[in-house]
Formats: sequence, structure tokens, C-alpha cells
Amino acid sequence: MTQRERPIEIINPPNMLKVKVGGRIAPADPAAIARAEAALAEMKEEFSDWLAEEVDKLEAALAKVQAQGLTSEAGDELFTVAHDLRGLGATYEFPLVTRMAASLSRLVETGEKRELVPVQLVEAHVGAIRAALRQNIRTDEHAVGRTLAEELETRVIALVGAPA
Amino acid sequence: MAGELPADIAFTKLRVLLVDDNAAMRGLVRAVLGAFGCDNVFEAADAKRALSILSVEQIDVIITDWKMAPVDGLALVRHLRNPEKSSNPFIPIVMLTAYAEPSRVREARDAGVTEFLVKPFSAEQLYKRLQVIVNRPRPFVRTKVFFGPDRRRLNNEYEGPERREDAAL
Repeated sequence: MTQRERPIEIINPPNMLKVKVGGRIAPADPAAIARAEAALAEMKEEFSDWLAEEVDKLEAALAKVQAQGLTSEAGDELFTVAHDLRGLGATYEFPLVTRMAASLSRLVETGEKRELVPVQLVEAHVGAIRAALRQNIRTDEHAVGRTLAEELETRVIALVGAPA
Repeated sequence: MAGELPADIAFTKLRVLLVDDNAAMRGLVRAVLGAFGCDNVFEAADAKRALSILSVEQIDVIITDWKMAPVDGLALVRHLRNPEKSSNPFIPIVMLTAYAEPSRVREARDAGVTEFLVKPFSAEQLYKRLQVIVNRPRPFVRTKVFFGPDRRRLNNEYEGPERREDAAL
């Protein structure tokens, strides 16, 4: 809390949510977690199709970038898709895709970065993600996947610096 | 422990607004919430739709993405925490985002999020955020430049059996 934030007023609103749900919720509920995991497992059959759809979106965003340039609106669209893929890859049982999409997201996160970035490095990320899917390389325990991810990350750090 | 509610009883009464522009992600979160017992889930693909739902529905918890267009989740949080613009500036907000960098966590905290959860998320992580929101809500702080949950507790997100000093609350 900085000095300029004083004076400080502390407010303790009544806990109406606890009243509404009927009391204190168990801090851990293994049965609920198991039900949730089972619900996700039921969706598992769809995961590869859904992941393929996200990667299709990424390739479409890349095609737009190739036509219009990274500094156009297409650059931000590409970031949005890469960022979504970062959040979905591991849930869809491809943690390696999350890792590579995280690297791509960092590369094209801001307009400033997109001015510096060669499109070839973006293409390398998108190509690596597609290859991971095609060859069913899901984690960085796979030597080729790990090497590829590390190489991409190293090049991103060299260009835009390490994560803040 | 006796007196503590299992999720399938407690969560049936929760009304959750889920704001994410990615339909697949909304589907995944809805599936997890449903398994917890929470079926009152409202979905919005953008901040404008979220505000429209909030104007007509009684919502208990908001789970929002950050990166959305044209208005992002951070701007939505700032709007909701503005006592002059918001009908419920105290509403619990979970920021569910693929941003994982500490600088992003600080930025979200300074906007007034209640809990921060990184995608890809697990069911257990979401459960922990929701139970702490119900069991041990943060006090709110108002200063000249900030209105929102007390930021000093942001990293202390898990209230497990080992932390029972508030058991009488």
C-alpha cells in the first residue's frame, strides 16, 4: 500500500453468499473434483477435433498476417488465437501445444513487439504446433517436441526478453 | 467436518456468470461447474453481453476471461468495481486467463479481481477459488486510487483443513 493511497477505508461486507449457500463449504471435496474430472473425461473424444479447430483458426490468422502484416489488426487477431490455444492445449491433453502457444503469445503480445518480430518466427511456431498435432506429440517428454519448444523459446527470449 | 456443506448441496444455489469469448472454454468451465452441482450458469461472449445479463439477473460470482474484444476483462473488472457505475461493486470476480506472468497477476489484482486462475485450469483449482470466495471473503479496501478486495491476501488462496482460525465465522 503506497503512501498516496492513504487514507484507507476497510469495509467488511456481510457474507451473504455463505448465508445463501447455507453455510460453510467443505474446503476440499474429492467427490466433487472426481465428478468434474469424469465430466471432462466424457468430453475427451471431442478434444482432438476441438484442438484441431483451434489450430485451424491459428493458421487462418497466420494467413491473414502473411497478407496484411503483423502490425495490422491481423497481428492482434493472431495473438488472441495463440493466447486461447495457450489456455486450451493442456486441457485438450496437449501440454506441448500450450507451451509452444505460450511462446508464440509472448512473441506477438503487444503492438510494440509485433513491430520487431520477423513473420518467419511466427510461422515456425504455427508449423511446430501443427506438427505436434499431426504427429501426436503431446508433451515435452518427447525429445523432438522438447527440443523444438526450447528452440522456439530461446529465439523468443532473444527477441523480446524473458517473461516479466 | 460436520457442518461443512459438500459442493453438490452448496453450489446448487450459486448463480455464476461466465464471460469468455471462446465458446469451447465456456463449455469446459460449465461442465466443471455442473459437476460441482452448479447449474445456474449464464454465459456471455463479451463484456457488453455480461453487463446486460448483470442488469437483469441476480449473479453471485463472475468468472471472466481477460483477453476479449472490443472490451477486455480487465476493463470489465474496473467497471464492476466502480461504485458509481456498478450495481454490486462487491461481487466476487475470478479472473480465468491464459496470462500467467506475475506482472499480469499484479495488474489484475490492482483492477480489483477477487481470485486469479491460470488457464489451463484444473477442476480442483476452480473449486478452491470458489470455496474461499464463499468461506472467507476478502475485506474490501477503499482509497483515493483503489476500490476492491484487500490485495494483501492474493497469494494466500487456499484455505485447507490446516487453516482453521476462522472456523467460528
